[in-house]
Amino acid sequence: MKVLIVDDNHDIVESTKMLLEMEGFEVVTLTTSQEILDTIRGEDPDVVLQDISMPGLDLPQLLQALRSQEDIGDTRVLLFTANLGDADRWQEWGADGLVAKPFEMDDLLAAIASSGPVDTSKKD
Amino acid sequence: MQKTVSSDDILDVVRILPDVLFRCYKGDDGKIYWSLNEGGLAEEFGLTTDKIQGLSLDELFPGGASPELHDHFERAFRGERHIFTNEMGDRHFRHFPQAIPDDDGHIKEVVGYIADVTDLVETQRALARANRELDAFVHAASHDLKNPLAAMKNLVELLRKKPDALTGPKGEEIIGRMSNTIRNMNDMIFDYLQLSRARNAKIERDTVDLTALAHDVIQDLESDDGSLEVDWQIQDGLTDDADPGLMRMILQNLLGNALKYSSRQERPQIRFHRVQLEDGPAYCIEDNGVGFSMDDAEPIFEVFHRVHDDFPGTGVGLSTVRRIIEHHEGTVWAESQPGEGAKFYFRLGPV
Repeated sequence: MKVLIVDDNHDIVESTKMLLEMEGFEVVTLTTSQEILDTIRGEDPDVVLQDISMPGLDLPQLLQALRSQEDIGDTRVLLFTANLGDADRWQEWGADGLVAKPFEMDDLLAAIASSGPVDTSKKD
Repeated sequence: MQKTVSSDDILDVVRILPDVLFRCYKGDDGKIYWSLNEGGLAEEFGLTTDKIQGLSLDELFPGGASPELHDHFERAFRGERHIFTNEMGDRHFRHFPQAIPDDDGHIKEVVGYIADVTDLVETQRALARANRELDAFVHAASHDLKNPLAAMKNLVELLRKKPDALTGPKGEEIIGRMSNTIRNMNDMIFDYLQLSRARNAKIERDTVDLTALAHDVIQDLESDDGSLEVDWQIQDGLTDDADPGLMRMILQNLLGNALKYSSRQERPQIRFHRVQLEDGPAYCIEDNGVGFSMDDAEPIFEVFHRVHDDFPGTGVGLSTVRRIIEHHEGTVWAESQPGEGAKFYFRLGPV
């Protein structure tokens, strides 16, 4: 299973990559908000972990553009966020789930494995 | 012998008050008329008793009194204990009116006190603004600090699940990541503290050798990344009156940025010199780095505004620079185009 991590924070990207690789995932990363769609098309990941706030990123617009693509439109996108206040509209934006930073590894794995909407911030 | 006190004696005392004591009454036509107005403010506005006695509320102000002011005074004449503040130009006046009922209990007169509370109102507004900024800062800083925290948590979790990883081929990378993450978190906290220092700093000006200071800062910057060959051009003989400690912060940030954003050039060129502009001299720090769009030239000075997500940074440095320069009553601004390098101009005082 292939995961694409898109986040401008290198510490997050690299540490999450190491964790997921240890769990047997193939991981590709992107630390800028440029060329996200092209990377998804080129790498064809099963899941995208997308940070919600990156310089130059208009997330609702990105998701709208992604969903309108014929070839990659149904790619599973989980939003990464350190700020829940900004993210409560994730379903409306067209994402498949929300993963709150910092996260428990088991929660992240469950979110990746799930096929429906997930929200790790709503866990009791 | 006890001295008796006349009305004039009392007025003499009232006139040395910085504010106003007034007396007004309801005429038979229902309008409010002034009978007494004394004190420093009355003097300042030329509205002392001798000038305004018998004038109505509307006649006291060019263009008449506002409906709000009428309403305030009507409430006082209804016997309400009603303290209010009104604004005139950029001044704020707090009124403390008090109804004086006659023997039958009818209110024909109101006396009162008016204080100039401009300083108080401005302080309250500045405080509210500072609180809003602080809230925004805490919100954004806690958000940004969560990133390295989450990364550390990831790495700890990884070691908890796979303790052997530490002695395996990935061991060194894990430790390296951890110390990198901690360093980044430390940098963020350092930057936040610098910003806080810049906010509250008292400027103590002294003659500063900017050329020597720049060389000193460059030495620190180069020890962080010795591999890079940079063409530094620092003009000789630059001196100015500034706070030495804060001036160092300015150069650390501006020269540090110039180095960071030109570090991917084959031959980074960074120049610090004094230039003569149309409206006067200014300092300029310019580089041949990645630059930015002029749309970002003003927002880059806002806290947490970041233009380049592919370079490390906390989004705090330029906002610190602007605060320090504003404390010096100077100005800082930027000019750039994407791919064309950047120029940061500053002045350490009014032109």
